[in-house]
Amino acid sequence: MLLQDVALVRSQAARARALALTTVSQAGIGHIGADLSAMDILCALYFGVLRGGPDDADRDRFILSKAHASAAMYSVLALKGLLPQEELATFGGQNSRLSTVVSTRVPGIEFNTGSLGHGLSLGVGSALGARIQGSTRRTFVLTGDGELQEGSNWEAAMLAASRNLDTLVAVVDRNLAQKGASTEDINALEPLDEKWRSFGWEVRTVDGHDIHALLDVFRSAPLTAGKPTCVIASTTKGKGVSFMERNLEWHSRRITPELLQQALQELEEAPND
Amino acid sequence: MTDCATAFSAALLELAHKDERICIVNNDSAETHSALGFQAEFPDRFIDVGIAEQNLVGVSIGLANSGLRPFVYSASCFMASRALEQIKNAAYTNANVVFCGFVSGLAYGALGGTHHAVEDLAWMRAIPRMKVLAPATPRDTVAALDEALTHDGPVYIRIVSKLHTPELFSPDHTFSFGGSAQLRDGTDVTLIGSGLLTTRLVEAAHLLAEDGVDARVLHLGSIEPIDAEAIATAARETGRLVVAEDHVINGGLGGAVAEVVVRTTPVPVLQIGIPQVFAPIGPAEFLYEHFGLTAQALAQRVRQWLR
Repeated sequence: MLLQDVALVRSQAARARALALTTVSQAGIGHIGADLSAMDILCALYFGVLRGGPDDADRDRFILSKAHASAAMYSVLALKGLLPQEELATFGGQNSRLSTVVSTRVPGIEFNTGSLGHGLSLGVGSALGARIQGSTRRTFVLTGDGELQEGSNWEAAMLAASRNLDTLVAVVDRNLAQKGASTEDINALEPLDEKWRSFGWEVRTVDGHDIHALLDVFRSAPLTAGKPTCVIASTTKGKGVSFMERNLEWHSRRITPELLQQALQELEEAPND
Repeated sequence: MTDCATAFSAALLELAHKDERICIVNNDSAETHSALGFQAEFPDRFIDVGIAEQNLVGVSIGLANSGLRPFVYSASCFMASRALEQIKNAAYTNANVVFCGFVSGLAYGALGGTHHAVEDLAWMRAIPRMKVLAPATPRDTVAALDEALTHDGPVYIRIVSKLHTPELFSPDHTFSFGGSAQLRDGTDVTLIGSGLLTTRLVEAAHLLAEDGVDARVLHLGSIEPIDAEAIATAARETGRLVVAEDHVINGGLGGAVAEVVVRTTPVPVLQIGIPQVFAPIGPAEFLYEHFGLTAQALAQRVRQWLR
């Protein structure tokens, strides 16, 4: 892999983190913990993997099932030029296009998600559609880990494997946290890799903040011909801002202007290698 | 002539030869909904998701995003209720999905309350963007299919299955969103129906004519959007409306008509349907008799009401 690919994604991720933090802080609403947890995955996909723009019928599809990581998503779309950067300031405001879970009002968003557990079925349909049309385009679905408690995911997981949908990649943002507590205390998911494997998927666990590893696994999929791929990305909620990391309070807590400055400063000072 | 469900599936198969975007997404019920022919001829475009209705609808939305035209084939009792949230989000996404609610109403008979689909209209009517159709005869059902296929956005078609309905329309019959069909003129009262009840109301009108009651019959195959003008005209010209449906009274066709009437031309409306009860056990026709949804019982009820 080219080192400049990794460097590009890393620098875009730093910029997108700053945009998302500013967006959520100014709006006074949002889910910054989830945004920062998913950011490196989003940037690896958008700046290193996905092919084709919104108007390209044969574009790769990306589905954000954990739709509350919306500030992250919009920040990435702004950096991609699909959304004016200044529009981020309207996040969640009156008559804004930017609902606080993503919606198709914004170019580049494929589906109105937000109710958890819907994305994987949409992805299975998308992958089946590609097959019917004779296309090799790929479909990536980013799910949270908590939302895997929804049964609909496992309906979709079963069908994807049974139909050998190897153009489908499910990425689990495995930050071990849901709104109020650890997933393992509320409704345990572990052993999560074995669950996916037993459903017929090829599974890889990677560091969800290691850009090199993310690019490598996304570009390599399918890892086994005839099998859908599940990437369990181990992540840290609030990643990149020390006082937010692994602190469940930061699921959707308000970021004061002072804390925003502190967070932006940290991002700026972080080594960008 | 064949029944509504069989006619619908035969017409869809024919369309699929010309339109390669058409596909069927099904929950392990191809035979029940006369889809075996489609499955045999277009195996790649026939997707059986198994017994998994949430995935059934989610997969269909994903297919629509690819530019395909998925038809969700399911008994309406399972699709409309189990996957209601996915259906709502299909509408929110404005996906080109046609939801085909087979075995509607009380047609599943002795299987009982789990299988009766008598709340679907209320659920579907509440969803923005959703077109809600309830055609009455085989030709009407095929015409509704043609209309649905030209539309960009979600459509719910409530399909009469397992129960016979006589044909009322000519081969060149067309169907339009927000349209209606006046099947009989009359001045004393207007009988309004959709789906299975339409043909029964026509028969009831003939029975009423024998008693000197001149009943108009209005078929509302499109429930959302609804032909408000035809309803208001009927209210103005005949002074009283009767609505009959194989659906709970709350929120179905009667509710939709009543909403128009109170906004435009307030007149008395008699709602005949299923009161807020679960049906007893028995064959479908017994259940229709139980709830007074036969031509004879409808005529009798109208006679009493007019007195």
